[in-house]
Amino acid sequence: MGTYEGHLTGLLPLPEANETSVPAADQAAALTALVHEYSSTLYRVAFSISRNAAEAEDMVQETFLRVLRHRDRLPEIRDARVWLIRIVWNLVLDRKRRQKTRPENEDIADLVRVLPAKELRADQAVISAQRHARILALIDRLPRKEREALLLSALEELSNGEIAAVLSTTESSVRSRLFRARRDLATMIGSEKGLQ
Amino acid sequence: MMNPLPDCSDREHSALVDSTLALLRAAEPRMGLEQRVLARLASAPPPSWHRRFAAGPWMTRWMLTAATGVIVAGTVTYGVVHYRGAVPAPVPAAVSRPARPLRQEPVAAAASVGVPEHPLHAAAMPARHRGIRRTFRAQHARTVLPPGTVAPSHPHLLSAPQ
Repeated sequence: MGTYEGHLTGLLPLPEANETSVPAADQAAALTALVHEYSSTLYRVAFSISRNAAEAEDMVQETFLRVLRHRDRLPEIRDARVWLIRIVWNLVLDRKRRQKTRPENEDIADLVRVLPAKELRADQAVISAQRHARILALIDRLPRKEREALLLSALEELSNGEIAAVLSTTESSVRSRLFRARRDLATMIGSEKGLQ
Repeated sequence: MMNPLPDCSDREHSALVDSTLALLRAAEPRMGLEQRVLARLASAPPPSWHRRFAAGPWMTRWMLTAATGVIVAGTVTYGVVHYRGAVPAPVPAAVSRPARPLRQEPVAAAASVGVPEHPLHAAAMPARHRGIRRTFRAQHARTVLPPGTVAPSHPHLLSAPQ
């Protein structure tokens, strides 16, 4: 069985799925450019839901595999970034749904690793990580629509319009979801002891 | 809902949420993610024919589907026509049966046996005795016993004469 190795390195032509479409070399180049440009963004989107580095990386790879399968549609895509985020978003949600029986694993070690290392002693870092883990647990308790809007808003790269495109809704709906999410979160935080 | 942290303002709540969301934003993949992704893509097996078909342009898909449909319909039609032509239509088997007598009208049948009119069609029939009692009396004449004879009420119980 052949692989795409040759196709991507330009040794072999990509199988022609459509004679009138973009040439295979251009498709491979476009795909490689997408990988270089959006891998980190997709990783952050996946990580915001899964909060697991390995799983997030898996999702990024799976996303680009899907793009490879549907590479003929690349020229038709107007906003590749939103399209890719939508793919990885659905993939992560789907995987999370399937793993629902597994216990939630708040990986505090991962959080400590990404904490900014500004004059924080080790114990302060752990306390801060625990606090953030608690906030993330509260975010998980939000209604699904509000939670999704809030997590996507965490990525500064995405505007409300782009979040609306990812969630297949309107921009005003995204705004109201964000408002409700922050209001509910503030209520929940207020009722939590020992967060501050 | 009771708030155990009444001194925690909305702004502080919001700052807490923002700092947590900033963590998610700050998450960075391990070095070389792009290379790993490209390597994975390079080692991926080529898609199977049905995946390629599903991912192909819609015009190709429709044309192939229509062509398949036409071929299937043509094959079925051809098969049906040839099947009908090869097998003759079934012919009923010739079975000899005894000739049934011609049915006669009741009046004609009665006349053929010398009865002027069919009994069922006779308008006036003589009254007949109906019932067991009348029939018995009509059949058995009354027996006149000599005076002073007592008739047994149950003659079958009498002993037979010696």
